[in-house]
Amino acid sequence: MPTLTIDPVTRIEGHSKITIMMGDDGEVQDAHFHVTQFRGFEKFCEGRPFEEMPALMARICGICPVSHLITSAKACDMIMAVTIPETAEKLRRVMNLAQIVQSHALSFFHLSSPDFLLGFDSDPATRNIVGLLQRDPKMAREGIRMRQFGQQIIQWLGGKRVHPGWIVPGGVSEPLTVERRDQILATIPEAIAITLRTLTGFKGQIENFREEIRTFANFPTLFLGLAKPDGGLALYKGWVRVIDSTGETVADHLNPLDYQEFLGEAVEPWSYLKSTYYKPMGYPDGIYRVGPLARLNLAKRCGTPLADAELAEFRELERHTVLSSFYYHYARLIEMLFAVERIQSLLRETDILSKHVRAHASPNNPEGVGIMEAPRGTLIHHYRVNEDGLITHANMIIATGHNNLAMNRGVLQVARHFVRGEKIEEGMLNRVEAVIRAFDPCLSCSTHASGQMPLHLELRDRDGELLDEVWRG
Amino acid sequence: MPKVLIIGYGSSLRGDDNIGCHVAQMLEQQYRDDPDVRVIGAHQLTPEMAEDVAGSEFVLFLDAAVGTDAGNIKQTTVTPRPGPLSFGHHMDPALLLAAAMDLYGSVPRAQLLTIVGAAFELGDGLSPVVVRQLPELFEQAHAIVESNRRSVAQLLRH
Repeated sequence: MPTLTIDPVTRIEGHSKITIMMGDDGEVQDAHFHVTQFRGFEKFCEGRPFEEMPALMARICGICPVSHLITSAKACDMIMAVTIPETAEKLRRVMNLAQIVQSHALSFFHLSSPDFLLGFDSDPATRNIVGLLQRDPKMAREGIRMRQFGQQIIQWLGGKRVHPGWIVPGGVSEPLTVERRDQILATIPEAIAITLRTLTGFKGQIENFREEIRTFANFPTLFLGLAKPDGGLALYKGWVRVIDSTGETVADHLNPLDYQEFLGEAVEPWSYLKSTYYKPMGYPDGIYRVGPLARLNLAKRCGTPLADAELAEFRELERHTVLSSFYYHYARLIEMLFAVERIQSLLRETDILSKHVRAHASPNNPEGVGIMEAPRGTLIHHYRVNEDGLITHANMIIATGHNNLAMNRGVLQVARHFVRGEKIEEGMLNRVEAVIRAFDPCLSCSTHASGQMPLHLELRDRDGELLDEVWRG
Repeated sequence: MPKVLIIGYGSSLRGDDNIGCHVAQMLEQQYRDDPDVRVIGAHQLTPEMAEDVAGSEFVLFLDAAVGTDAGNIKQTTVTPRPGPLSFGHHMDPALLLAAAMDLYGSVPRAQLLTIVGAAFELGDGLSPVVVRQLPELFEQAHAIVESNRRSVAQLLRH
């Protein structure tokens, strides 16, 4: 059987690759998205004092450190058996929303918009941020501005842009000052204007991508995410809800503490990235998606005026739930809008400047589970501690792992549609990459690796002879 | 805006991958009262750094490298080079310079100083080989900054 391999060569060996298995008839038979970097982070945590976990977890990733920081702090809150002050919760929410903006901005403006603006068949040497700058410098600058908006809020609140230590078990370490609040509020109008402009532009282009919409991981799956009583978009806390591809509720009010009862983790020999599945439906039938698309499918409303208007339009895309993963991009923009609006409303609440922002306690529970919605989807941290508060067990379920089954099936769907013959064509390679990019997987988070990801693509015949080869990056 | 920008980057949980940030911290101590030098430590290079880069006269990037000759230090001139994106979240120095040029119309001179690491496994310590080379690496980084600071000053005088 001929095998087509897209193999990233990383600064640190391993990481990931894509293999497409061709049948003798020249048609694609199967496809795998491999992640080959060893994932041993949980063992590394054992023996550490639980209070150190948030700061340690924040160092997993340079893109979404705040998600790990807050989720870890929530697990620690439970170990301490405390209810954190309301103001502390609001401040944590602000920081998380700021991170959603900067992370979504990186995904949309810098990684994916070159595909939309320059086309999937364009030269990869120019289909990047620099190509974007040349084609649409205003949009490129606005992408930078949205990254800066989120990063600046994180830095103002946490003291550092990349690995802020302000969020601690029990709340946050310092209250918000009037000056900081007003600084943040002053940046809101520009961020809203940019996001609305970008949404308008994106919606105007959707018709150009009908083929990609039809083939980019467009199939029925379950959707999983946090939910809250009013049906609003839940990012910080809530229970777990699962819906099917028609929008019908499959399970509701699932307690995050019981995640091991409804989530299974399968290990495939070709990847170190575990594939999570909805346990009652078994593996692999329990395939589900998380992240922006899943969250908008789950929510009845966002909870802010401008985002709710956009969500209503988004709902018109399909009769029930929106199934094409191409629309992850669209969902990201709506979530960015919601995040900016929600930051504004949180900062306008009267108690946001309260000095009571931290609860103190020793370990009172032998274990804690933290759960929340990271930019890429539901993030779970689960710790057990001994009597001295030292970690004896840690488990993390990362958003990229939730989507692993769907990404694999998406690569297969795209490959079947676009891969033909024995030559590697640029447009085919671009689309295989782009379907993964739609999910915005964070391999730093999911495997705790780091490094560059240039691509190596090989086409081999049934005897393993190299027919064609492409290096990128 | 400071004239010299130092960016050390890498994961602080992957052993020698953190060497760039480590040396950046040492240089931050050295230049903490100097308004002409700014130091950034980061997990990875990201697009918004283009603004900081564009506003500088000289940029020193500090990073780890992979190779068989652990401890080997290498200095390379960086020039703007557009490159392809993958589904990862990383940029490289040349792409960052290219972004600075196209976004802000200004590109500084830049050098990349790397050291080949010996251990990239999970952990927040450096390998003995890299620790032994740390004084030399710091000296070289310091010399590069001093040399370019002087040339920036000369340029400004002219």
